[in-house]
Amino acid sequence: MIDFKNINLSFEDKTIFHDFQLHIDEGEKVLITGRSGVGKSVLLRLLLGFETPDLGDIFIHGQSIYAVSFYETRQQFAYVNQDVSIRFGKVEDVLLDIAKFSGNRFNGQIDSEIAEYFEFDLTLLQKKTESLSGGERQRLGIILAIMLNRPIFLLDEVTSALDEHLKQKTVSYFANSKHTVIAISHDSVWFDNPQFRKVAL
Amino acid sequence: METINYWGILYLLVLIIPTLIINIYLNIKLNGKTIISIFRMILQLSIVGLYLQYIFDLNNHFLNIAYLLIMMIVASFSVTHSSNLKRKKIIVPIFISMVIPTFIILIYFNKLVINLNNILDARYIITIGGMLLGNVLSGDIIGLTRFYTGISDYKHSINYDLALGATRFQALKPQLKEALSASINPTVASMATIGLVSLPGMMTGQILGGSLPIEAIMYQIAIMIAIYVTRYISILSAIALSINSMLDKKDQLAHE
Repeated sequence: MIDFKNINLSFEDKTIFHDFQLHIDEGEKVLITGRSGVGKSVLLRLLLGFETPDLGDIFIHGQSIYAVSFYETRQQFAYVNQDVSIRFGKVEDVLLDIAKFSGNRFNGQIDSEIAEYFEFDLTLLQKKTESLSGGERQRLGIILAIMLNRPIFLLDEVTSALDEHLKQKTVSYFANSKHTVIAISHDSVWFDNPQFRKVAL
Repeated sequence: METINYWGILYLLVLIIPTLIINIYLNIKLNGKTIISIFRMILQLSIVGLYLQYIFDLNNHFLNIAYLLIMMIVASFSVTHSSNLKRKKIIVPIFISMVIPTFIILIYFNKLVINLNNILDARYIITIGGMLLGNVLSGDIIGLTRFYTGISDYKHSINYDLALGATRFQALKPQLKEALSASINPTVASMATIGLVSLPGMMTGQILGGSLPIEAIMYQIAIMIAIYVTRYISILSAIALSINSMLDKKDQLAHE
């Protein structure tokens, strides 16, 4: 359902992708692996339109993402990036802002079962996003992505600041999700999960 | 009102000499720049004085408007230069954001506030228009720099918001708020403290010219509010009109 066709991309004389192809089926769980700097994050950013290939095309359900507005395309994805670059402000208020983004069926409230699963203390809603710890931010980013209820998850190193048992829970959650999941991680917890197809860059 | 002639200026130029000497003594290398600046000021203002006299005497509507438009063209170049943005992309949006608010407020001011018979009277539109324009100029520079630097600095959280489903406007709202506030704040701050320490230049000029203080303050209040409104509308429209040239279809700042 997602097709990367002949992707070529270079940054400042360094070739990141050369005639790169990748097909991902609907509902599939894919783990992108590779050493640092090889271009794993770029792959996700290409889908969101934050990077542009020098050559090549990307298709979702047979339609090129360059043929429609990125505003539309982005609705398909629930993205969590490495730094969880969420806006500044009180968590509760930021979530309400996000709920107001057009096309979101999210009402700003976090599902308490999901919060419990990821051990996210709801009193954190009163804290400012700037003062959340790394682990708290990651859990917030993950929970937010889940609440958006979008068909495809794009997860970039989302467990790097979590302890071992939360890493397990996170991987387990996404491995068993009905949605398509494209994850990037160095963590062996992801690698060890048989439900994820490994793609090495 | 007593007039000053060039001999009077000479008296003042003499006072500069001690400052030049102290600069030399302290090894402050500003004498060249200072002398040139003063010379330029005398030259530029003398020329302005000459042609302003001519324009006021002619008081031709088209000439008056043309003069303002030329000022706005120069101001537009100044804004693109000072805000470090790509001239080709934004010079037209900036020019439009100067012309429309300034002319509207100017006509509004002349017709409804002062109730002039000749709303395009040179004496009024060039002076008041000039003041509005000067403020619009600095307001646009502050606002545009802040806005586009903000987009660059906050690229990650803006992109994150876009990924979360925000429209371009929703994702950039924080930057818009910052830029608008930064642009308008100097005027607001100035209004709060005006008159407390020294008289604004315009009032000083008016009173020296023979106006009563009460007349002068009414003008000052009126002009400050006019400046505030013009500056506000101008930066808002400058941002709104320039955004589509500065961002590409993926909502990223277009690189060259």
